Amino acid sequence: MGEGSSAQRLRRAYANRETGKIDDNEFETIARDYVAEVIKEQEDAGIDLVTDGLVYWYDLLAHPARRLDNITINGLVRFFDTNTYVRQPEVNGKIGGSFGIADDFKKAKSQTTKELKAVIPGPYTLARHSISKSNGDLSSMAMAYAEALGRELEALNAAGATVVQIEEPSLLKFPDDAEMVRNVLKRAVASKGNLSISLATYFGDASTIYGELINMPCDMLALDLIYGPGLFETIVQHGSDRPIALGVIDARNTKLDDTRDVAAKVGRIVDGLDAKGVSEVHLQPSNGLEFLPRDRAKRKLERLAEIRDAVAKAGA
Amino acid sequence: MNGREKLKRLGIELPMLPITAVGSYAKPEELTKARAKFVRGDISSDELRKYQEEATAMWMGFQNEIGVDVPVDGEMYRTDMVEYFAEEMDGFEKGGWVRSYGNRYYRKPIITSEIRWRGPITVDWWKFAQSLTDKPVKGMFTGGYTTMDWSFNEHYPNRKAVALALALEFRKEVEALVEAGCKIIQVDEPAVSVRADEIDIAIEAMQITCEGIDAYFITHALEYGYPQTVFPDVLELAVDNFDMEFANSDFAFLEGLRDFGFDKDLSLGVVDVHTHVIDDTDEVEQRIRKAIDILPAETIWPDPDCGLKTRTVEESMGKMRAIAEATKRVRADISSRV
Repeated sequence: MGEGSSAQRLRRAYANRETGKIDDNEFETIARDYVAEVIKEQEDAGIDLVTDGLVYWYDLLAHPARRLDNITINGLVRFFDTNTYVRQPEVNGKIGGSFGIADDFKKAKSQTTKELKAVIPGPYTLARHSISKSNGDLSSMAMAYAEALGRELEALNAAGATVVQIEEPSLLKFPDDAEMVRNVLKRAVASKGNLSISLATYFGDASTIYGELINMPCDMLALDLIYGPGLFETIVQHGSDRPIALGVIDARNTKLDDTRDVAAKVGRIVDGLDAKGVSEVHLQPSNGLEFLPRDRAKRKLERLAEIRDAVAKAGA
Repeated sequence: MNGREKLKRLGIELPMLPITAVGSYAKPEELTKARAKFVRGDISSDELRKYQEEATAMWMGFQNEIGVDVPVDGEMYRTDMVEYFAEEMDGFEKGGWVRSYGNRYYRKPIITSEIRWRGPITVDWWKFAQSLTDKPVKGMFTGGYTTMDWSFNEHYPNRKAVALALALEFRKEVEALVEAGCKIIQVDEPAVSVRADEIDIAIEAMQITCEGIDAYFITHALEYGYPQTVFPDVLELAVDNFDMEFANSDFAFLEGLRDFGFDKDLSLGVVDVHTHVIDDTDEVEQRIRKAIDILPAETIWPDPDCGLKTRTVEESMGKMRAIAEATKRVRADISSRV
């Protein structure tokens, strides 16, 4: 969100809903218009797999967590090394209910003809940012969130989703917890049906735990190659037995990434994975684009499509 | 030399538990409206300045009234703590809106060429505020590391180069403040607690900005994160006083601070600035008592967790009154025991 009259309209709508000046229905109309706009922006930029821009997300963690049973929302905490702050979920009892992401998905799905990706914070990252007031330790909180995520995946499946991105940036900060993450994700995806699960990590160098990541229960790995530039070589050397989404556009800085340079690096990975029988490689920003002003985010998406085209041309 | 001795040498005697504020207060509605008119081109910068001066005078009067010992100018002239300085220096372009938290957004500047200090940025406002009180007014600006971290960089080769270039330019601001008579200077560095791998850069930047200059330095450096990740290295920052958020995090790190051998003065955040609720005075009193059970009372400066610009004027005043009243109670208790 950011520039433009529609963005300002949505920001005003958030404020007016908070103070009771507009009701949920009025807010919904405004938010829905904005979702349509950000989806069109992605389509126009040449993005194949679009998202709803997380427009309904008031906060990267509190938005989905606040809909769960026995969760209240507490004070602010910095979101990794960004200058964005999130409110901490406080766990006061057995976590139940739904994140409500499937509802957001249904609303956005009717607004695009492209494949729509659902995005959801991972159980471990949620637990890492939560305050336990029910005597649960990190592992049991993560498992409880995983069970809620499992229910959400079933709902997303029923809503027609095909790809869900589960975000676990905290894993890169606490790599020793890889086994815990594997266990909770295993529980979450147990009844995912036909959904393709993309596990995203960012805000850290994944090359140090690449061996753990390629054993996670997911169908695709989404990796931040900006924070860990050495990751290009790691992927080339070790390969992967599943598709990889390469976060090659710096979603933390406005400077436009060099098309030729990035395309050359991507080309090496594509060739390396192809030799190992993996033909599906995705390109995406290093992390969510909400850390950039909207106009710059749009240019980054256009650059991403240019890089894709350059890689395809070089390989043709 | 400890903080009190240094202040004494600088000619400043403060009471036990000196009350201060972090920097910003809520802007009165008239000023907000005037600013909107200025942005639309409906009023001149001189007309806007009158509103800013009136608002500054109002906050100075309020602080005098409730007994703030180290008052602040309230930052009535600032847009945002980084954007304002970016506008006043060469090398920056205006950036677009990005989220701070919830529905709060700020304009994140873009560094597109060499950064240069054009001249004093905060000195006139410091002089204006100081002319309205006998108490020592804090000089304040955002430090090199945080300005680097909260800007986009399209010019310098890496983050360290940006931070150090900024630090060198901000030293000129410190020198200008000191030349004007300012003796207590706060360098806001809230970003230093988030990247332990870059703490050396933050330390070097602070040295470049402050070292060798005869003033009492405070840094507002540790908030809303995981401060333990940068301890004990962060104690090498060349300052006399650390300003930290405690109310928001339920004083979770206070004992940890002692365990790390903290031996500086501590500006102690005792009210939560991100809630509309006015903190209960009894509760604020308990928070101060909790701190002086763990650290020496003569090193504690009660203040809010952070700047109060996101609150209303009434909320800002209510929170500051709670601090002032609670502090007076604890002071009276301490002096009755001596």
